[in-house]
Amino acid sequence: MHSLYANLLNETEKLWRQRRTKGFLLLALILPVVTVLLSSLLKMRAGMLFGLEGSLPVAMLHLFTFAIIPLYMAATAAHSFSGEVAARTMKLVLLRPVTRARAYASKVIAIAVFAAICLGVLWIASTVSAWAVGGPAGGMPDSLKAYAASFVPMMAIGLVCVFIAQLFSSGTSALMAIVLIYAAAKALPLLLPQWSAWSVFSYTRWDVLWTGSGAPAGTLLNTFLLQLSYIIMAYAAGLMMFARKQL
Amino acid sequence: MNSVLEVEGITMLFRNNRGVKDVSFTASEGEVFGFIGPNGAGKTTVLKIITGLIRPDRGNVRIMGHDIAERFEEAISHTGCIIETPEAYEYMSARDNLKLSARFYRDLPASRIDEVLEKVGLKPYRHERVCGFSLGMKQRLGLASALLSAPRLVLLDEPTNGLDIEGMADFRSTVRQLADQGITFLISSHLIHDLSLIADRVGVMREGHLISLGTEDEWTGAGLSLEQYVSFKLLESKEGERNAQLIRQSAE
Repeated sequence: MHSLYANLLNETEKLWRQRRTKGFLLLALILPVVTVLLSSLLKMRAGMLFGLEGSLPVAMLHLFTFAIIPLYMAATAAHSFSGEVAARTMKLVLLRPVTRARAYASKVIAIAVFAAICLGVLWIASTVSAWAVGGPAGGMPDSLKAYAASFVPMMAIGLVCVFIAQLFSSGTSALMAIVLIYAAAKALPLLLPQWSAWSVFSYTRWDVLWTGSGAPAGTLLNTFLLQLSYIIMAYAAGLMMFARKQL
Repeated sequence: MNSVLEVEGITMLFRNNRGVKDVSFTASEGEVFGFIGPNGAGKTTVLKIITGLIRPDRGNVRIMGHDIAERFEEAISHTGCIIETPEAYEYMSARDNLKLSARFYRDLPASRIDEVLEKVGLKPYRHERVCGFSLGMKQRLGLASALLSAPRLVLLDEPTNGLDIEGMADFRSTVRQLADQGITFLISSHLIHDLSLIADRVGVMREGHLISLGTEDEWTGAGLSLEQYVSFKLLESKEGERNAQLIRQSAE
């Protein structure tokens, strides 16, 4: 287990040192503040009231889980897997005393850690921003539940990104392919609504099932199990490719 | 002497039918084993199989008695290597690169990083980012990284590429000094002169086959330089192949 922990520290440090990670975290910190400031300014100047303050954490969550966090995960998966193979730095890990299964697990956990941090930063920034202009809101436990629930579809999407990234020999082509696949998957329900229930990319807003009066326990369990099965399948397929990679 | 590395019948063929075929050899404690042969002979493939970067179709590799396929972590924890080119995270400093590698070794003293940087002459540049390093400096960093864990076996693929004359001399003296302390080296190179100065034994590879294993006594005893010895072995192998082909043709 020491090798898993050591490589997890390394992967986390490598991700933290990238401008991309700091940029996404900064965006999660700044965007809610800017949104609230703009909303307040419009309210003062034009008397327009958006009533955004109360629902800001959830509105921000939906923006981030729809596009920003999946984009971050796609970029990170492309860099950590195909990008490192292309730059030949993958050897730096694989020539150390860590099995491929553990190296893979630590890379995936590092991506998950930053997705969780991004969600955490976003929740704090949007909750504080909403409070600053609208006073304490009553929906905090609900928004906290929504953010925690959102981690599940983000992980499923992240693992699918990791799997797709390994099909390509360069980080750039992997990122382009993931973005195209994601866009196509998001457009699919418009053409074939009956297929959307089976798409892993259709559950980015499943947090709404957890808020308010909430969905029945059976629906929550079904949806959770569907996503869990995607997580397991994507993880196993990704691991198989990683373990067989000839460098 | 104890066997540090045992390679038994490794075979690995790529789609183009090139690769390595039935390669077997051992390397003992404190031995400097040179691996020599023309480009495409399969030297790097053998090193990649030894370190688990690629999996052979057949054969076994054991490092300090641990099978690389079954007990990878134990086997590789005794090994330091540069395979193909020395790589590093370009956006990090030399020291930070080594810090990442050091995390894998629980008992490594904190002073070891500066110790190996000093050994390869990079201590003054330890806080500089690797992206600004010359090829020679990257090679030195690769050597520092290979020596970091105080390994029992060091595998080096073309380690003197990019080094200046002084760097090459330093490299040779470092290898000899460490070999005298019991560390085993497996050095793949096409620079025969370099190997002739440090190798105790050489393996000559041609078209995926290990065609000869010879000790220093064998070529010096025959009054040959290492270059002459290797040329002779390559020629002998080609001649043998030609003769075998002629015999096959005449039999048909």
